[in-house]
Amino acid sequence: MTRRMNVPVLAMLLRPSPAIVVMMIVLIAWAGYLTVIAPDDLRGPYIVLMLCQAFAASTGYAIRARRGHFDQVLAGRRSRVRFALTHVSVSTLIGAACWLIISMVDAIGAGGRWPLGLTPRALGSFVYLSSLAWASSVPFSRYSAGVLWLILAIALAASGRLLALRNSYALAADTWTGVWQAAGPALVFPPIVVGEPSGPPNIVIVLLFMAAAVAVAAGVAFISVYDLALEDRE
Amino acid sequence: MNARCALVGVSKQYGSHWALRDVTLTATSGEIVGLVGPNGAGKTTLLRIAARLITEQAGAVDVPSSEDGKVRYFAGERALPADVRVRRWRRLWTLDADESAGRKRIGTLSRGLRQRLGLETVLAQPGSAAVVLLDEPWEGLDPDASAWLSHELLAMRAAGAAAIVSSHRIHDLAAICDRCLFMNLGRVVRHVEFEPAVMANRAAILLEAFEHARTEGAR
Repeated sequence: MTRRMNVPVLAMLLRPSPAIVVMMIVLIAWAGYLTVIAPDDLRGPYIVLMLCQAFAASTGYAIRARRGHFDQVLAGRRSRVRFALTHVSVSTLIGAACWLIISMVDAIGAGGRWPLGLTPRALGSFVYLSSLAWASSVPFSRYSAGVLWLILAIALAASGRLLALRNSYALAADTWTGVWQAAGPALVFPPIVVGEPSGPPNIVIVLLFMAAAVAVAAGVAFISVYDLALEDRE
Repeated sequence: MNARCALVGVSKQYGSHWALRDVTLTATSGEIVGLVGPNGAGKTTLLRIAARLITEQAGAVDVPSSEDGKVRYFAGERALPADVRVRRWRRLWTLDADESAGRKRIGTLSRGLRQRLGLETVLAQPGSAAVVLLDEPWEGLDPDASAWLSHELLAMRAAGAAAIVSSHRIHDLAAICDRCLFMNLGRVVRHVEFEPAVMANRAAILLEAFEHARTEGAR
């Protein structure tokens, strides 16, 4: 099949569940409500959206591929790179659109202040989380990365390490040691970057974007070389 | 006739199991090649390697790129996404809407209807196909749909496509194929070629060859 079928086929097969769509609409409404009662602090909707995006971008690939769902678009292709890039774009689109809308709502309510969602640190953490969620789910099924990330978040919170990560990030000085103190928490639990009012060293933001690029490259490489042997067949 | 699809000395191993060993198969323009063999013979693996969905470990595969829609492949009704609505799937592949399907999902259709739907989306695409690869295409089809499929394949052959069709339905295959390869335990063990004008006894010839192929493979 032709390359122009990438987008319509993937948009149909990877479409978000109604629960995720409803959740994102609720988040936009919550952001709108906050712009009226507390326009200076919209961190809540951004952080919850990151959790939603961990599920929404976690569209999975290998399980569907082994069932043959992508056969018609992949048959005869010498390279799957373009397909893989379309896959990551379609998977992360709804969360990115919601992030943009909340940022616009934030901008309207902020009265001239640059919205949090469009600051480099927030964008870096959102792009990193989206890419990681997508790439982590590629070898597995839908929502696998979201579930893993939720388990990690609960485990960190239950063991008290989430607070330690937050403190490590918040107290990081603008030195090389401080960079590592901030980078660890930002990479393990990206919502910290959005939740903490203090900005990280610029190098941490660069690291987040680089980690996102590595995650996407790993996912694309997996899709490119993965053998699509059919499940449940002779 | 030039080879539209050529697999030369292809081997594929899963763990310690050889799914294919040194298999060579070519299909030329305007030719239908049948693939016959018991379950586990390697037919599906061979077709998926030809479709570039699986990478061969040894040998060479020469199939046109699908970037221009020249390669059509169908693995059977189980390869269709059960959670998608029939109407949307048909529209996606630019088929006429089937009003009788209503808002049904693909997974709720009968096996035969799913098979027909999948074949339609693969075969009834606009534009000409260079290579058609079908895995057990007659499975689950009723006589009318079987006749439709055979007619479509003959039309594609007349239009210059090269088709490789694996099937256990010897009679259906005998009616349309120009030659037939018999596989067992990952090898091609027998090869039967038909005279184009002779239609009589084809199924009997294939059945006899199948029996020989089974014993040759077991040896």
